[in-house]
Amino acid sequence: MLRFFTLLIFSILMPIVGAAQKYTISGYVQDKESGERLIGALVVDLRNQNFYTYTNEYGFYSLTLPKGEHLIYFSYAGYVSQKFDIDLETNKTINVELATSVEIKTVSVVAEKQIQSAQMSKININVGNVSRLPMLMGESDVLKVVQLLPGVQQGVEGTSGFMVRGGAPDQNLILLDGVPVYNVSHLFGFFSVFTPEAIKSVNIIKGGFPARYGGRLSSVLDIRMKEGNMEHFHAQASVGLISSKIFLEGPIKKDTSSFIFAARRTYIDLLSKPIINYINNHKKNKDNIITGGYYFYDINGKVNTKLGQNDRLYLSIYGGQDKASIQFNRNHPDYKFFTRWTLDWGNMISSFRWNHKFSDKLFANTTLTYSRFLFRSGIKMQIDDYRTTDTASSLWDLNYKSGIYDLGAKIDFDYLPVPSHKIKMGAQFVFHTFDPGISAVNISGMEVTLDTTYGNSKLYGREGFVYIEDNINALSWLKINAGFHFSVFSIRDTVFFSPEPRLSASIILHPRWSIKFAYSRMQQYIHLLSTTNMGLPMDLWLPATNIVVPEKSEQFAIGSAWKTDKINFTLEGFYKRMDNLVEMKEGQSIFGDRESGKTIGQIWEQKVVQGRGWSYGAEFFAKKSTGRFTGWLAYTLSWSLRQFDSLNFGRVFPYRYDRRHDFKAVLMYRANDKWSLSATWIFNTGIAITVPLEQYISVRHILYAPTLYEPQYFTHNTIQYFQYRNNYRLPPYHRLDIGATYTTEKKGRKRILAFGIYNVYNRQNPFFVQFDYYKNPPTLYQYSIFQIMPFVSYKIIF
Amino acid sequence: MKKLLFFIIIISLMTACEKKLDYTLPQGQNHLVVNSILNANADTVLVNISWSKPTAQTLDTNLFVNNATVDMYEANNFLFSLTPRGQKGYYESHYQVKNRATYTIKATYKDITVSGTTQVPARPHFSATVEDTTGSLIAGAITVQDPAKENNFYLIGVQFNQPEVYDTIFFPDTAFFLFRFHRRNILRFIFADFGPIEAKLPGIVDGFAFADKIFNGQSYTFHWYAVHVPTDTIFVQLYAIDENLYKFFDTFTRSEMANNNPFAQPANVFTNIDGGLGLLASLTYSEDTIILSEQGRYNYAQ
Repeated sequence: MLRFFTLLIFSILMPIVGAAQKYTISGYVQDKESGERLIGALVVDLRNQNFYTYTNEYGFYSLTLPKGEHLIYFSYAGYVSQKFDIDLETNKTINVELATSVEIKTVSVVAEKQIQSAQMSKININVGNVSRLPMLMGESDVLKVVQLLPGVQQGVEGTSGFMVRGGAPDQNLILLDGVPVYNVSHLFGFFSVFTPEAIKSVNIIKGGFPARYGGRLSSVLDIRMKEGNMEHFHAQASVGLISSKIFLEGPIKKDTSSFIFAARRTYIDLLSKPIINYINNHKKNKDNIITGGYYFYDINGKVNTKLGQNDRLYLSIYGGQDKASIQFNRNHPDYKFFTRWTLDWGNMISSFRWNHKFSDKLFANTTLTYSRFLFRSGIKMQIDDYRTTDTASSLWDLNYKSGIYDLGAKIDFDYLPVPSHKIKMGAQFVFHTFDPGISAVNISGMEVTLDTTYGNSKLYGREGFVYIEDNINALSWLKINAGFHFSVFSIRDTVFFSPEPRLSASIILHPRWSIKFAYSRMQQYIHLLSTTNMGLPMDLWLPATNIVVPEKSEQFAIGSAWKTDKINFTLEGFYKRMDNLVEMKEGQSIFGDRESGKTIGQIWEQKVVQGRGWSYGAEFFAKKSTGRFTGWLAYTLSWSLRQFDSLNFGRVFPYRYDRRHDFKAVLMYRANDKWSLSATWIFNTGIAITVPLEQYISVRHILYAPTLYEPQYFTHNTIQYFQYRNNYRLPPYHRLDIGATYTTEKKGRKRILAFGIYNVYNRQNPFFVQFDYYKNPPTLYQYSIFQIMPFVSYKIIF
Repeated sequence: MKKLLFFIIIISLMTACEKKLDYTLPQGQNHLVVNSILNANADTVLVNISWSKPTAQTLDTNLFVNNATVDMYEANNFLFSLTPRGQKGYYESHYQVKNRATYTIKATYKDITVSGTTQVPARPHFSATVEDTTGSLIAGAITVQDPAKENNFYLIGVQFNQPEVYDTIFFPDTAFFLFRFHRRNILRFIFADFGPIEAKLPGIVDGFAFADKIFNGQSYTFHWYAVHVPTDTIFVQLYAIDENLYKFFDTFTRSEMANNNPFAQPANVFTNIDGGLGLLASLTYSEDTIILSEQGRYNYAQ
């Protein structure tokens, strides 16, 4: 055994020390039409397929080869591949432009099937498919597509939140151009903040995390925005049921700099205005007027410019906001009463990036990042009292604000000394400002006048990490990704450290068949305080402290990948153990303590408990990416359990989203140049909820002894007793959606009409369930809000 | 086009529906339930004994236990057995519990014995004042004198004779608001039952329970504001409640919020009955009455 490992280590290190008579080809791979850099394009020597690499996040590749003749092949899904014969006698720069393929099947070549990477549990989402799939209200949504993958579960129906391999929603690191996004949803979770038109690539990693990632336990969702067309100006405009979008891209200076701009706004407020006016105008009592509105918007912008051959700068900005308000006006002969409730929340994200190519083998990316999520709510009440001689006006104005602000810097290096080693290393520092809530009270026009703020409890955290990982092409049958991630987090007077080894390995048994293993250890320094798991804006991001310590996880995965000419199959098993998970105590809310007057920011540590959890299961994924008929089937069999000493009497209970079976079918058919059809079907086990097993009469009943036999007696005096947490399974969830797109092109303008039906067979899936305790016996009701729903949208591209 | 969009949205939103779910649960184990609040201002001890029932079953009067043995102890010394009263699970005895004394009630039915213990709190001390005002608001203060080195729990009530005109009472020290719009506060039941208050107060009553952790051992003044109505009568009560009752209120309020919230984890209500369910708690109170006159002057009546 010792001899085996000695030989193995020697084989791994030999290429580095024996790198004589070798030269490097390097460069960028980009889209021929737009100049957009392609991420993850394959570069391989067809004469010796052990020599291969992929382009990094910026389209850069570097491949060191022995002196001599080589046939270099460049390939990327959806593009026409290119081959070059080269006679390598010196280092060379080869920048390649790939043209998009009319027939997708032309990209399928033998070489691709034989390339097996060490990475497992990673899925790349074809962004082009996002707009082809049927979606709720016709709103294309990247996160809804993510929910269709194996090992990924949706939360409450219709919402964008997702859970990965038994983890919680806050355990997903969601990156937009490398910057964490804290609140990814609009309209209380129904739509995500990502505008598909502005997105270039989406990758999700569920296990076997490379060392460059850290800070969350369950997944990494890496979303990259487009860079903008360097050659031509393009525009898209689309109109949907609830929103309209515009997308612009083009060169600022041809072949040197470009931009993108995308904007989306909903018009629920505009469409609902006539309804509200109608209701108010036809009310019997016109003294009480109710008005309100809701809308959200997103704006994405990005500019980039080349500074010579070796440098490139990027500036990307995202801003999005939800705004809701409701107003009550009451006109009484004695007084006029006005109340206005407002809610608004949103993200602001920006990054400034500098790519620099030091040499053919060393590439660096330096990034400055800013991320902010802010939630605000307000209540304004005004009473004009006409009973006094001079009308007395009283004003109450209460405002609440919470948020999280990150300011960070990051540097990453790609070092490719020899074909068999692709080394990534880097460091990151983030300064977090947690603002769990500050309230402002302004009372005027009364005997008492108040203008004060309270509850300011900002917390400042410093998070940093260093990492190194090596993608080792050890032997023709063995690929390894080994890495080490070391993170530090300081808050108040406490400092946490976390050494996190990472390892993935792939054993190639056959050119088409490999077996993979992965181990990763992760630590998470921030928690999302939530009672709903829906991704509501009032949920609070809070840091680990000396009281609520960081969450940790260890994940083991084993799997097998098999590729045929048309279909890729993967089967993976996983076991994940999680420690120091955070849950709200029973009956706690994310609001403050009324008796002490303290805000949630001051007392949240007393409202939560920590415990452990574990999940395990198997995932099957079959994906067909070529031909007219594409799509995938995904099935997950899994268990997800929790144990908290102070919850459920210390006994193990299933996680709310512990779904035993989870099946998804995604089918797309391109009938001809005009028509494209799609369908998705989802089936999963119902979620686990807590329902009472016993009921008994409250101590309050002795106050009502004389009315003991009145019908309402029991309804107001019964206590429900919950012996076990999550002791009841809701009915299974299933749904079929269908959609079609009709594309026409005239005078260089492409028009796409998309329409379809959400929930075709009108399955009444539970959106939530509720006990009616006022019925005797208490009755459990299911409420479904998304039944059969048609949708339509129209897009023009020019 | 606009009409079409409008139509589709309306159709989509109107399809939401409610459906009754059948649920077959494992039958919960039935527990003996003991409920009693010992009142140091009253001369009767009243205990109720009943059974818990599976949630899916209808609650009816069959759940009351009328032939149990209910014994009362003071500091583990047997005092007396309570006498069954009627067919509604009640047991009573004429006895006035003492402040600061510890009582245990044991209930035995067939081979099941359950028990609970409470320590009656000391009578609370407070003062209530109302500031002279001719405007639309009236301001008041309640000063609680909290004994040192004790964990005390209180319940304050400010009640008015003319409830229909009041909108909000604001306690700025606690940032706690009592909105009076059709609010059915649990605490009104407590106020309505104990002592003579129920007879005197036809109007809506409100209050809130709190612990002394923010002012332990010191005097602490709560301020309140409400719409000023001349000639009103204001009743101020300060209850000293034991920790059991405080926890009951606290968890009951939380359970009411959580158990009707489909997105929150349900919460159990506090019980201190060993081997069973229910609550044995105790309280005592002090009261002050303030009468406002037409001239904006105030008479204080103890």
